[in-house]
Amino acid sequence: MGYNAPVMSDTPLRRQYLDIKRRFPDVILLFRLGDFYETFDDDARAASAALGITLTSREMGKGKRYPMAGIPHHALDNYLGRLIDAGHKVAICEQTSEPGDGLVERDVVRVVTPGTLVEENLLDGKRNNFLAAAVVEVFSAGLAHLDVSTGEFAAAQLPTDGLDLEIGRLAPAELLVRAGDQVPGPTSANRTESPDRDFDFDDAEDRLKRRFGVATLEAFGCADKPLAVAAAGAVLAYLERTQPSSVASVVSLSTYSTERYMALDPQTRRNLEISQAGRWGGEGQSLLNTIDETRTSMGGRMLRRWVGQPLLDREPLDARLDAVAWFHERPLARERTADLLKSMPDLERLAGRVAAGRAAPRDLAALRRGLEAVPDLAALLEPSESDEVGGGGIDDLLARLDPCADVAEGIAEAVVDDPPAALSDGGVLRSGLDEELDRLREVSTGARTHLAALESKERERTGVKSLKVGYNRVFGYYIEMSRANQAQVPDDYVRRQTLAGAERYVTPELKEYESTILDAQDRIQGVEAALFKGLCERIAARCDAVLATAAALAEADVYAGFAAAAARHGYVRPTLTDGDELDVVNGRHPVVERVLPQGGFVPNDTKLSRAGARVVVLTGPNMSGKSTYLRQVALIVLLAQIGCFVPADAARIGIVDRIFTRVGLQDDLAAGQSTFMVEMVETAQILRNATERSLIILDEIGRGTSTYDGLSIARAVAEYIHNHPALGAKTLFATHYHELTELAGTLPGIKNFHVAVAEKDGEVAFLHKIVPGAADKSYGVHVATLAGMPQAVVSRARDVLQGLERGGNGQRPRRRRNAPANPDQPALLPPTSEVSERLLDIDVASLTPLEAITKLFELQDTARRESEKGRDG
Amino acid sequence: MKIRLLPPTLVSRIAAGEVIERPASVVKELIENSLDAGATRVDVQATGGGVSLLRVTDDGEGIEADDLEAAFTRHATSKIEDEPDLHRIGTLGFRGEALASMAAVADVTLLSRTAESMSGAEIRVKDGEIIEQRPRAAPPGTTVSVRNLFRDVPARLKFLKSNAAEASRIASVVGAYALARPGTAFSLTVDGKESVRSQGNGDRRAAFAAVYGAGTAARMLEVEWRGDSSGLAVDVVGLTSPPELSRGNRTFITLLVNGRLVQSRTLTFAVIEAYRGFLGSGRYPVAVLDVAVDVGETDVNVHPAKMEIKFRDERPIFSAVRHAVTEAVEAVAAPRPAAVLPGAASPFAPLDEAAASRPMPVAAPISGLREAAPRVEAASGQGTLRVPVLRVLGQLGATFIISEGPEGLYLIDQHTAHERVLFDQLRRDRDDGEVKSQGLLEPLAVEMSPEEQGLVAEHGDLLTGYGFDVEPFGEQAVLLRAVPAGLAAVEPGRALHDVLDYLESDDLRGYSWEERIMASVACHSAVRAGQTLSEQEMREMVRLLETADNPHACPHGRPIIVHMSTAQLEREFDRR
Repeated sequence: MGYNAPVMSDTPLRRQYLDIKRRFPDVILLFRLGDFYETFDDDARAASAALGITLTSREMGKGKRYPMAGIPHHALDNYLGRLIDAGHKVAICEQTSEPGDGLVERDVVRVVTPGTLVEENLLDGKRNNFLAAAVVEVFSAGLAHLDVSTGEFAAAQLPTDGLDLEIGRLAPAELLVRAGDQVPGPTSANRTESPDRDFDFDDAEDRLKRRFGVATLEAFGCADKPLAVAAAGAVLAYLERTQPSSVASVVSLSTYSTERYMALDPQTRRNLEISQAGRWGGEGQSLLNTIDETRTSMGGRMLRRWVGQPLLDREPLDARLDAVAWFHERPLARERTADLLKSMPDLERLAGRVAAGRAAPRDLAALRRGLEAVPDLAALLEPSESDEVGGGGIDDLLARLDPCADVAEGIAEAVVDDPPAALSDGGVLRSGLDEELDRLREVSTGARTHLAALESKERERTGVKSLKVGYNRVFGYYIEMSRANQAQVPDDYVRRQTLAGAERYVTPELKEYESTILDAQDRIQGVEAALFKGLCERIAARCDAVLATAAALAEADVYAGFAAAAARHGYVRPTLTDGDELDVVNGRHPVVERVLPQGGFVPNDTKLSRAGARVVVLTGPNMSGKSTYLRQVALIVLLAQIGCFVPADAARIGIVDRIFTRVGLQDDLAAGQSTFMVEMVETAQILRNATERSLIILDEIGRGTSTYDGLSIARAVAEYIHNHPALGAKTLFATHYHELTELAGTLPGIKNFHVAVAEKDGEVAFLHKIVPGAADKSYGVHVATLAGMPQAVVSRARDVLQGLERGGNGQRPRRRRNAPANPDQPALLPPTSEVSERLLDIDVASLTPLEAITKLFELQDTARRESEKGRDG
Repeated sequence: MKIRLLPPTLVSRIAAGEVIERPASVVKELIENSLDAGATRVDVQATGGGVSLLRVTDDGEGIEADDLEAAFTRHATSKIEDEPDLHRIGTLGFRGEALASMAAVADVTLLSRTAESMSGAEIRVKDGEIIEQRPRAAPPGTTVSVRNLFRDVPARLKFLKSNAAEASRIASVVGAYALARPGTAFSLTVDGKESVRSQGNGDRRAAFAAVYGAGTAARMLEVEWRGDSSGLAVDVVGLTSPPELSRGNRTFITLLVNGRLVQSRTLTFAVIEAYRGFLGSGRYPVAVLDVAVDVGETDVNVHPAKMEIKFRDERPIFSAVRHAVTEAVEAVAAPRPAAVLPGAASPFAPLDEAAASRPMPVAAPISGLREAAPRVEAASGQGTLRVPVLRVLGQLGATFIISEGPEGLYLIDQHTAHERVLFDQLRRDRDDGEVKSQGLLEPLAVEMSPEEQGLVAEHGDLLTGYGFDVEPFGEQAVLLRAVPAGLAAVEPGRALHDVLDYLESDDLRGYSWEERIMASVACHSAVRAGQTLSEQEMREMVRLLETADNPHACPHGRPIIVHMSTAQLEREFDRR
């Protein structure tokens, strides 16, 4: 944005604006002018465009008009959200002195960026709003993230090539990077270049130590992780610069290791529609919202985190499953827990506001209410006498539900039960809390009583019975006498206001009481503010404990939610093992089964292991449910490894180190890569990174190129996975290349499965049932019927197909012309026929309906030309 | 007129009418089929009150493709084979009528797959004719979809209630089976919205929670009675409500005989009898009870809908149920007077004739006038019940007025009585436009919370209308010049605060602001419990009560009078 140097002829206001603007060149400066926030110059143009507000101009200096656009101060939140959404950063410049003679002082109090939003109404309760920083070295990288609204602050040092996955998982609202660093990750994240010195290890360490008041960072577990420290330091530096008031909400830092979690690459996240709906879109059904039965925002955020971070160790997973089982077996306790949690406020964000000094009286009341409900919840989770095996599973959770009684009592003692919205409304603090406050309140009350008593006194003095003492906002207290009694008005009455039938007066005595009241109230405000601030500071010192309780509540919420989802959808507890088996009985796709009509989803078994079938080649017609089946297996494993029950009758799952997916035709248009290229890049990544403990889902590999290329690559990939000593991953391979089914005959770990089809009286029904063996037909013509292809085309296609089948010794030619096993397949049409050449090249099963119809038209065209040629000749 | 043989379609429609009365009957028949097929999950879906679509899906054993056609033939069933079976019916269905009846009055599609089969099979039936049968993908189990119910039977259609009413009947059927079969997971989705869901983990209390809510479920009493009743082995298990949890009608009593949902006046009465003396008039318990008795003792083939049951001898069963419930209730409730044992005639004379046939409210012995004492219900919908002319005998515990009338002893709660009198007075004054107000000698500045100030600002006119004179007096204060005459004895600032606080209390939820203000003023003007009254004051109170519009309940529903008849007293003292 343009920067204009101050000129002498500018007005003082203009000069003040430019001085401030110079310090914030890259942001939109909202400049407080009375009841408006104004923007000028280029900022005004940008704001007007982003907000649809009128661009006008203001004269500042003789004959000099500057572009200006303004928003009313009370609508700030709304406009702020829209500016941030439009990708802007915004500096808010307030008037910092009382208006009087001369220029009001102004200064920037906050810089709002996507990562530093704290406005409750601009944030999604069930989603963290992360400000992240990444620093990249050759082999290692540091990544830190902070939710300013909750104070959640964590850092990790991780291998550089894992950085993009971690950034993808966190999906930060804003990512801070060093100038010149090549930081991978989604391009959509707002990136902000921060100065190098923010990332300097020594500075960063000092900054963190200062913030937490510690001599060493050892307690935070990051003493030996310099890059994590550097990234965390950069986050803190940025916050200190843009929003000093929020720094106080940063009370702790946790260090984590990405090695504890299963890495989920973006394509797998997308292919499995884990948190974002894709092809079952419509209602926005994703795995996350199918299983989300959490009742609090805290629980919602934790669930989202868990879904992004499946665990790799059996022990913590079993602990989670135990807790879910506890709630699953106790529907009553579960429902009452849910009822309690429903009214539980967002303790994390409340604690964040208290720590940052932004808490309103009602925030404290809510905090107290929330904490006071904790013992009720704990009582529900206490093992009852009827429990045969103790509390089992939630003992640990119970131990962490600290009601922080001192905090709740502290609030209860000081703050009235139902405080007003704003501290300035007064009456927030209880009487008896502070002598000075009580005294001032008495002064105010006393003066009011005197004022009220003044009425009868003045009535007596003037002899006017209708005399009244009253009050209104504009004139304050007054004495009112009707016009008829004008003669009785004493000399010391001063007229203030004239009404239709009456006059209003003040007297020195009345004024004195009034000023006593006003003065006392001023001081009451001051005292209340100071006491309130002190209380908030004492609570802030206990923020750690409150946050720990909040985390335990969130966990309880997730467990109870998992159990509720399991009860609702009929999930069972999976048995996790350290072995390599994947054994699912009547597994279902958790999302698809919700979308289909009741009783529409056909469950299927899965049985994979290194010793038995480790690669399953799955064949079957289009639309028969192959893709759903593949995804379902991956989702069941994923659910098991976040500690959730799974949609199946039974499941035994050897823990998987990573789930790889390569699914369907998905053009990464944004990256400008061709379908085939994307496919190959993703497949290469899988082959490089998979281990024998991985689960690989390959759907239609090799489709993006010609039949022979595709088939060759698909076959080579299957063989490689099966044979490579470091691999042998459990693999589900859906394909249209029937040739791949031959592999089962030569390689012991490969088994064929297909999707069953029922045929009756020429009618075909896809049964969505996965059964052993290879498919014998592809039913492409049938799919064409289902897709609404014109009857003429379908019957012609059927004829062609029958011709082909008869031609091949009464058998359908399973192998293409040049398939090595059958070099001398008889020609079914004269060798000269172009039609037959092209027909044989078609892989009917892989055609989309549109491709099929286009091909048919072409074929007919060719055939017509050929027959004409034949007649001519 | 010539006598003709009716065409077969018409015959089936007439026969169907006995089984399929409304959408809820379809649901009942289909659920019974599902249960007979060994289902562990039964999902019910209804749209348009169940008339447009009813769909019941189960995970039961399914039907072989070859049997589909037979399933729709009248009197075809897999459930019984011969005459002796009919007398020992263990399955819920047995008549072989349900599907055929549905097919006669609706379009029915049945999709089923057995666990052994790879392929499901679907059959579509319309007007009793099979339209189509074909293989189709399906999970193991059966899904029956019933569309356009009664489309061709306008007479029936006309008798159906609103969609919401039919949906609520469906919900009560599903709820009843959820209670009956806690080991089966039931769900009901009405117009895309889930309305019932039980987990099916075998726990009766959990199933109860799914139907009536976790809070109610937690309070229910366990019934477990196994015994011998007049030589017949009868087991009664289930849940029944504590006396303080009751409902306004008897539809909350769910009865099962050998796991079969039944409607039985006899057994319902047995349950109600067990609460005799614990529940007020017009109040009924909530219960779900399963009675296990030898199948040979029962006959369920009474009516095509199979809801009624006959017992070879119903007396031992009646007595078993009553004892089972009594045992559970007495374990938690205060002991009743000896004379009020189940079976004894009501020891209390009714306040009115209409109530005579119902179980009567009962008072505890005089010494036990405490919290647990049952209350006299607010006499509603029984016309005005005037209090007879009473003679004051004295005051009890500075709280109750003891008085004598033509029918015996009357105990009056002095606070609620006064509250009622004042409330009526206020209403009359308002109607006459002469609400009495007491001006204060000196106006009083009263501190207010912002909420209170909001109430004053919002309802200032009403407050003025009932005798308060308030106006704003600076930040967080009002100037009070007058209070309602009734509140003159109270410190005026306190009176205003009390009334404002009470306005927002739960007691008065559902009342208009005007009624709230009247009730609040009346309540705070009335004499308190613990206040000694002179004989003169008591006589005045009783006199005023005699003229009250509703002398039996205070404005927010607490009882005023407890009556013990002379006959009752005589019985208590063994004089009769």
